[in-house]
Amino acid sequence: MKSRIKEFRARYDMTQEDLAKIVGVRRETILFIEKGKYNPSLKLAYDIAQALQTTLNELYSFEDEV
Amino acid sequence: MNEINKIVASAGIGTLVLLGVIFYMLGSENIDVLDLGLIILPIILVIGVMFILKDRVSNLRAGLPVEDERAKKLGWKAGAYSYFATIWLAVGSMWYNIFAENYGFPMLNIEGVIAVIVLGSGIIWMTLFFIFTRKGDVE
Repeated sequence: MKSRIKEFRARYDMTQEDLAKIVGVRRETILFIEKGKYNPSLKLAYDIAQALQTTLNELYSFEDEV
Repeated sequence: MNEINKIVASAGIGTLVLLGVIFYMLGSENIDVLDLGLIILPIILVIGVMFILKDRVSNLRAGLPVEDERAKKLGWKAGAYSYFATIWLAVGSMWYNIFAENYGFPMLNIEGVIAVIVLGSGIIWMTLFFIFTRKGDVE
């Protein structure tokens, strides 16, 4: 799963730590979601989208993994 | 149990383990290779726990949660792997005793086998937890 979290964070001049505090997770979790190494739960994905004032569709894109 | 209590409890257990090792060393008349292993394993375990605690305290100070969904999943994944490793440690201890009996090496007594299984599974859990934490993905 690819995310545009970094792009949206930059838009709101937000650090990974700021976003982590808002959604209540550790900073590394945000880092690994941004890198596409960790797939968050639906609730966390939604919370991040809310924090960045966007939608799930805007923030995440899915690619077929073969 | 809130986060501070968990950290205090973990630090307390770590201190008790270290005290246990010190008393064990004081009570032993002569320390052989197996005793040395039983002293080193808890020390490695306590050092690892201290690293985890340090990380948790720094998160707490920064106003971030000590544990989140990813950390919990990693803990469970490491736990599942260490469960299987524990079974192999028990089987390995049995094989080691058969080998030791035939070739004249010091054999593990029942306390030694229990210590190897308990401490070994703890160290395996911690090592896997560190590896998974650095690697990033849970699946």
